[in-house]
Amino acid sequence: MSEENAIKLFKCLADKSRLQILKSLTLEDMYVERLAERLSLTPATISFHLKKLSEVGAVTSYKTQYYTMYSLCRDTFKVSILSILAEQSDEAEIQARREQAYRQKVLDAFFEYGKLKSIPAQRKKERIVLEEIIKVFEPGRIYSEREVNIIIADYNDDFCTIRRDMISEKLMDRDERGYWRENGAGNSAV
Amino acid sequence: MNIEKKENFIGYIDERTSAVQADIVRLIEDDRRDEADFEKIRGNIFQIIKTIVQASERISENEDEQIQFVDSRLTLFTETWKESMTKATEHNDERRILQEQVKLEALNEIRSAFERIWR
Repeated sequence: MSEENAIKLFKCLADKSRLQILKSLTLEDMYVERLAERLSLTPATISFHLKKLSEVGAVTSYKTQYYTMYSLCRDTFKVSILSILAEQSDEAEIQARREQAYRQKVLDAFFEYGKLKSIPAQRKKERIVLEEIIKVFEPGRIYSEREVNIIIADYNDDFCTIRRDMISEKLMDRDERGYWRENGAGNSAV
Repeated sequence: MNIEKKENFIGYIDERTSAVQADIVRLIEDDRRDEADFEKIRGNIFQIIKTIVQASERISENEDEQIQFVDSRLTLFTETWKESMTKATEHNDERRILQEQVKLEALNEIRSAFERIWR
């Protein structure tokens, strides 16, 4: 269920009369006049609520010989709230696009023709720059310190600082064998 | 307009308006906000008619003409809202149907009180 639909459904359910209608329909399918009698509401009021419930997929209707019967859409209510919360929201997409745009702006500001003009003073910006550089290191491969320095030097002469900062930012790790790119390093949006 | 009759009618309108206001509060407290909104419409109708009754005194000093003025407005509203109700029904517009129904209910009630007091 999309976030938009979930909001519509929850808004619709936040009404006592509509909940009472749904409760009645859990017992059996009913027509407007019967619901009106059960809930002491006018048929027009019941029709209004049923229309709203129908619009959010909470109820459905079918015609019989004399009446239009309303029934509960049980599938709608089988969706768990947790699964709705787990879905990526439209807002998250907008946020991701915004973050991507910011990231590109930083890269455009600090890189020129593939060279890093200067190391950003702001940690957040430096992290973005380092994440870009780490991409040239093959995942799973172990590099000697000399290899690392040569690769980084293609970007900026201050390869020592960049190499150390990659370690401290946990984009790269090392032991006696050499250096390697951390799993997932350089894959995050920001 | 006969002052006593007019005060009776305005008193009735005010009494009904208060009752509708109480219903609105009750419905909101009962988490039935949509129904409360329809009751607000009902309350508005009482207020509109009250304004018309008060305005009738500025239209003419003759009581018959004042009564005729209010009566003509009640008739005009009834016809207009019945027409809206028919249109809403044709288009299965449940919200509009309920709105027009509430307006017509209020109007019928007001007309009964009006007839009782002046006829």
